[in-house]
Amino acid sequence: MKLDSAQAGRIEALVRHHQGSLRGYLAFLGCPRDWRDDVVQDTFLALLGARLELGPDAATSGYLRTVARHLFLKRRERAGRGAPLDDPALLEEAWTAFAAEDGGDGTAEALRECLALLEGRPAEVLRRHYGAGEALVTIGSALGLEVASVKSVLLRTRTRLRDCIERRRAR
Amino acid sequence: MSPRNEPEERALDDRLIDQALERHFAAPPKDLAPRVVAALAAGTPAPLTPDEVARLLAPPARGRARPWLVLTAAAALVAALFWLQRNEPPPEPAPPPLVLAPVPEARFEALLTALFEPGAHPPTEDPGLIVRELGELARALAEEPARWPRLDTALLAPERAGAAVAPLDFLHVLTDPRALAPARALWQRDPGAFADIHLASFAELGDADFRAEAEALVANAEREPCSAPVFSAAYLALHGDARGTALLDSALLDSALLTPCPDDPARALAATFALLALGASDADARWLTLVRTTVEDHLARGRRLRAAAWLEADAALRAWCAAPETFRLARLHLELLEREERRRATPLDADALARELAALKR
Repeated sequence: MKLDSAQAGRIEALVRHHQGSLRGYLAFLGCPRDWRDDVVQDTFLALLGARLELGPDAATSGYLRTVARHLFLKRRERAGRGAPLDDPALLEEAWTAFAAEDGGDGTAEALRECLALLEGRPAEVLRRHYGAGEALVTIGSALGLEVASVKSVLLRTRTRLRDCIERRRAR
Repeated sequence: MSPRNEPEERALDDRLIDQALERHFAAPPKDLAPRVVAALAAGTPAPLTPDEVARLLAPPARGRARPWLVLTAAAALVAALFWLQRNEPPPEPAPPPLVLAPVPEARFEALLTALFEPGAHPPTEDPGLIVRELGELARALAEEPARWPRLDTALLAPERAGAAVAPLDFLHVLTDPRALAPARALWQRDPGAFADIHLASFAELGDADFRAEAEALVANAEREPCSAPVFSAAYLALHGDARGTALLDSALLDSALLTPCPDDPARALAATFALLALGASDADARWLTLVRTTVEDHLARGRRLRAAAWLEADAALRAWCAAPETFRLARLHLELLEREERRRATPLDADALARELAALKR
């Protein structure tokens, strides 16, 4: 397809507007990290090829999520990981409530603030698990904890963070 | 809201927090914009065909089909939005919509058949599918004016009952003078099919005959609830006709003319805009009273979307008052539907709506 510079610029702006939220949505669905960029790219190619009018709006976000979910499912099937996802309606409802009108930026900001309040072992476990990508067993041996205790710390910390985010977003 | 039990809800919430944490701690992700543009420029095939995408985006059918008329009227009104947005400045700063490929001839023919051949459209309860097809058709006409005569042929075929879209509902929102020729032909055949909004929209395109019909409609207006020709009156008032102004004034003064159809803010909005444009500043107070009472009523009954629709109507009125040259009667329903759709896309919070209402009162 021939693209003039104005079209290319509009496409780039469109991708930049939606790519962060779409990656987050795929992570929410359980899409492995190393698949996400490919699924995001394929999603844009599919929608742009369908001659739909796309923009920085909620309708376009909805189109992108629907197509991304479908492409992710197809990829899972091809990879032999066919366990069903949750009910799409429930996933959609949970995601739209989370992302609200800002694609999740408000939640991300609230999370930053809540993480700043976190200290000690919970903060360390989170940093190692999400930041360094360490396995639970590695975290456990570094901190002198059983794997079950690491899981428990993660669970409790996520619950604390969820409550903290909800309080901040309600303000 | 879909029913969600507590463990299910907690599991989903955990996953939401999980992905948010992952995003927080991860290195800044790659910008995929250049990659997508390069893939398009290199002709990388899309992983889905346009038809597959359309099927994916169509919501699943639920239960018994609703009456076609309701569906098609709403669909046709929303339809030209895509086309109109290409031709008029958007109300808010935003990148223009993307149109990447012209609509091919075969697709144009298929659209004409699907939309205007009686019974040709597959049964669907998805207004979005028809809206998308109408948007594509409007785009096809804008891209290639030589296609207009074929549209005329499709619209003017003798038997139209059972078609997916009523020709007048499509034509009047196009705001294109080329819509006048088929409109005149349809008038010759069945003038009774023309509603107030059709006459006002075609008069707005500068057609003297339709203006005369709008004048006749206003001159013979009966003071019946919901049947006062408010759109024709607004058009005439904005073009210096005192009878139009008088009818609008009475429509807003006499709440009986408007209260029986409270879920249609378009009528009251058209009347208010025209009166304000003519300098009748008290029209604003009357409009606000109507909006407040209607929103309060909807909120009290738990109808949050309807309450939001009226608040959006007020926002639309403010936007048009700020840029009166962009006001078009033919676009009025489109604008309101578009705003309502935006509201529908996000959860509606009753407290937030009440705050909006309180702000309106100040």
